[in-house]
Amino acid sequence: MIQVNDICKEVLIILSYFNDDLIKKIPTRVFKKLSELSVGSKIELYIDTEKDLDKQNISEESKDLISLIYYNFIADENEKNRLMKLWNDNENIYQEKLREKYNVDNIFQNKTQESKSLEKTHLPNTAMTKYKKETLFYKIKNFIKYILNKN
Amino acid sequence: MLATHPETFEIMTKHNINLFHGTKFDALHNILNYGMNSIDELSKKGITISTGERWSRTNGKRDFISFTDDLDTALGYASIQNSQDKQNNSDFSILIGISSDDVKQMKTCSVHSEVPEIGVMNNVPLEYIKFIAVPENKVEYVRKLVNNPNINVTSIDMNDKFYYIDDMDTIYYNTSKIKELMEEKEKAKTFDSESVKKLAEGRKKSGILDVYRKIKNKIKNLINNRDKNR
Repeated sequence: MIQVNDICKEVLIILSYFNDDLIKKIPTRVFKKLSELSVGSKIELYIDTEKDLDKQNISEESKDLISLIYYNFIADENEKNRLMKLWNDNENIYQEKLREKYNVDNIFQNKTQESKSLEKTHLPNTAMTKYKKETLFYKIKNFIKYILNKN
Repeated sequence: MLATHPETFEIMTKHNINLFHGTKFDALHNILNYGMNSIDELSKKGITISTGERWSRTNGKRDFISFTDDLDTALGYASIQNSQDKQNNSDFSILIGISSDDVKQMKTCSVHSEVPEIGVMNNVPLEYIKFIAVPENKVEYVRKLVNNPNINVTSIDMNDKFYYIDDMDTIYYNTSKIKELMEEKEKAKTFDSESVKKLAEGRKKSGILDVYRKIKNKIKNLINNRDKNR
């Protein structure tokens, strides 16, 4: 799991690639706090400015923090409302996918199917043979057979 | 002196900034928090040494901070590439300037070097740093980070060549170079509003809230630790 100081360092590095108009909109206190929180981070980044920001090799947490900075200091009111709705929609889609993946019914359904297929595969090999209990009669019969064969 | 950037030149002359130290942006964080420290002083104080500072250890023990009055030499130091730069292009050169007037109040030492250098022993407090020059497209960003009215953040072309003149009347501003620098800044690839918006649109609420909580908790812990230490 990525540490907070690494997230802050990654975000600080990305901010150094923002154009001046964007930088001017972000309050100085944000830079100061990020700088304070990034103490001890040894993270180094290679920023490929030919690629979009969302394609940069940075952590998901850093992308979230950059988005939060955008929401708070760069976006206008309309943009903020639109973003909030998008974040909620994305959350719902994500939760729905999680529900599908970890649905309890699906797990049992899958288990039943799995066990059925297992049975099909292994039944011929593991079929049980009928066990005949040796009665007194059989014991005497087998003993006589043994004596006769011996002679 | 050939001044490609009038603002930079004016700041230098106004504050009598005539001693320079070239380093990398990576070192700036420590400088802003603790002033300039020699590599040995940083170790002594238990301050994490940045990549930008670490390279100077290759020359052995360094209990001083080197300054030069030769801008070309300082820019040369600032432009030194370390072996990790190939994987890390987020670091950039910075030039720190102080005034020789203030050096009188510091403990200095002579440096055996092929270039004109003086050494300031152990530490240069932040209040003596008058000037930080960075590439044109990083000025606004570094100004925000420095946020100190006593430190002038201005631009400099790290590849430029400088020479000295004695007569202030013959200051020559290279206007074509200024234009060139501005054009370079325009061309420099940066992330604009659309690019950040695109990134933000792909996020989800729980991630945003999670990182917000993490940052908030970290700040809370820092404040608590500070209170405990008082």
